[in-house]
Amino acid sequence: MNMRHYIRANFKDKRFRNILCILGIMVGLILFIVVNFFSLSYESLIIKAFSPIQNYNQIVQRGTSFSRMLPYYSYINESVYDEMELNPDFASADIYPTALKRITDYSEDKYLDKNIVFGIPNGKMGSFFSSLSIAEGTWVQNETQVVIGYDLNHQYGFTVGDLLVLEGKNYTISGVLEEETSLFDWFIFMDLHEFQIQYSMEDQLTSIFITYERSSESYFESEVESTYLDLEFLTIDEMNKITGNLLSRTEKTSIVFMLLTFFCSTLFTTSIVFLNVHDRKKEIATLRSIGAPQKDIFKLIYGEVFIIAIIALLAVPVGILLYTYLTFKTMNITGYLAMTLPQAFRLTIIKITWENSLLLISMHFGSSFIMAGIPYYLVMKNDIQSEIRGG
Amino acid sequence: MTKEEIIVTINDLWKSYKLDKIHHDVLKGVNLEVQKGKFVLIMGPSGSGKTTLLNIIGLIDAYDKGSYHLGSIDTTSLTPKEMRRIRLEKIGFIFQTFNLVASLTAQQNVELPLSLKKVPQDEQHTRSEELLKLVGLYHRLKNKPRQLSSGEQNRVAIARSLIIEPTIIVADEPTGNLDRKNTETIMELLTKVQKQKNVTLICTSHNIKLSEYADITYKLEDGIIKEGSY
Ligand SMILES: Nc1ncnc2c1ncn2[C@@H]1O[C@H](COP(=O)(O)OP(=O)(O)OP(=O)(O)O)[C@@H](O)[C@H]1O
Ligand SMILES: [Mg+2]
Repeated sequence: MNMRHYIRANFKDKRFRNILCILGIMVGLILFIVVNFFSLSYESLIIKAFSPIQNYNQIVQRGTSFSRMLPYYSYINESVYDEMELNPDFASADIYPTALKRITDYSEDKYLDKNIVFGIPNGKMGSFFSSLSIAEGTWVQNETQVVIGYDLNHQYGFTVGDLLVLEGKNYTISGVLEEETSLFDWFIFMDLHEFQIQYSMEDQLTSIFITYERSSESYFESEVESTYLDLEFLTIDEMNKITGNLLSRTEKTSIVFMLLTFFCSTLFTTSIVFLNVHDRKKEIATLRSIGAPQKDIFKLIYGEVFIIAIIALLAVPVGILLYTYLTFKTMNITGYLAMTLPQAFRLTIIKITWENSLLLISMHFGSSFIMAGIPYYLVMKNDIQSEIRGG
Repeated sequence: MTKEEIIVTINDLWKSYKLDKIHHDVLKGVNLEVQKGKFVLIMGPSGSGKTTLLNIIGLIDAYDKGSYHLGSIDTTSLTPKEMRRIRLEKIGFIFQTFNLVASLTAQQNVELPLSLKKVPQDEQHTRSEELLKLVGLYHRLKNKPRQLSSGEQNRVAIARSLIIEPTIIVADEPTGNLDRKNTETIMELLTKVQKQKNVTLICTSHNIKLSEYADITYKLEDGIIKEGSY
């Protein structure tokens, strides 16, 4: 027999209690991982969305519940927000450099007010709009071409090869999208760089503004018009402030949650170790009376904590798997375009795991071991002979 | 007789316990000499301090006054660590409630003191098997204490106390939990192995029958040892 046999036998002897303890810690750890990673992903998403990519500063607005936390209140009027609530048929944009502007223009007697021009780099158009397909023609090949949505074709009769005058400049329609029954039906897509020049937005913050489906009846109604004219662009300072606020709030939430989880799982370990030691008070006194070195008693108590802590660490891979699963699940529910969010999230998972799980492991072990010291200290302080007498 | 080696020498030993700020003297000047290889029985009424004296002899309790020599060692000057070493090397304990480790098998319980001494496993096995054979429990090696009867547990406790080849065994009411028949069996076994291994055995009991097995019986009363009054 050696100490390892002894520790194993003791663990087995109290297996029900120990397994319960392990499960308790695991639940805590899993919750911790899921929430922590979620907030970290969220952070990285915010940072990514707000940081300048290539030469453009941009704001991403999303019509999904997750991204409602993003600061679009600041420049979307309440009534639009309400309408968005009623019509949850949103679309989303990726974080490619994109730009968008509502235009007012005439073209060959056809009134184009309240339509939206979407600027996006040429090469990325196909992949960005992977959910859209071209009914006729091709995606934009150069800065003189545009692609139009279905309704522009259907209602106004624009087709491939037609000229479209936007802000006094001629563009050739290179393609028409298939009917989408969504916002894209009203869109005009053009090269991003061209867009920036055309609408004098090189130095400004541009906004990816995701709109919602409108019925053609309400199209000319003045309240909708005024709503859309409220669109404003944020300055860098404003954006930094919003980002900062969001990040610090996310951070605070995750820190509070983290502390809470650790407090709970440490409490759990401690009380189980306490119980185990308490049940073995007489056993430990017997060991001491037959001359067991302090070191061996230390090993006996801590060995059990070690086993519990090691097994409970299974929660780390389980938590990561669960988190990944949940992330994708959420994606589907909220209806993100498949290509939008997951990429950012996946990056975060891979990037954070090692450092974070290391931190997690050391915190987990550290707290368990420190707390296990209390029953150890108490039991070593006891008087051997009165302990042997007692029950 | 006087030429025999003396293993325990106790002179004018005093011990009190503090309870609610009042000191209760339990031992009031105990004198005792035990020769090597003898079986000494200490009897006395409940509360007379038998366990207390035995704990002092076993170095798990301290005394207030007087002297106690274990062989040539003066125990007054020992540090707790040295006492622990002596317990591990020289003293075998048999507790009234046996105090076996519930999670370990009979064999592991017997090997426990050896594992604390970091004796190699092979040697542990040979010695534990030999001893369990000696106490007639060879067929119960893998049983846990809760799967053993009181008498069997008692025999495991005896085997455990013997495995370190102690110079002295202290046994506090080793048959206190057993019926008459088991008491006889255990006492016969205990005296047999005690004589065979030439160990000193100091034992307490309420049971007058045990004096039949003992070399000397003392009576502890009013905090002092009164010789052979039974
Ligand atoms: N830790 C302690 N604190 C206070 N008093 C104690 C303590 N341990 C023992 N005593 C007291 O010392 C006295 C002697 O106790 P001890 O256990 O030695 O008696 P005993 O002769 O073994 O009795 P029994 O035959 O019932 O086992 C008792 O009166 C007991 O109340
Ligand atoms: Mg007693």
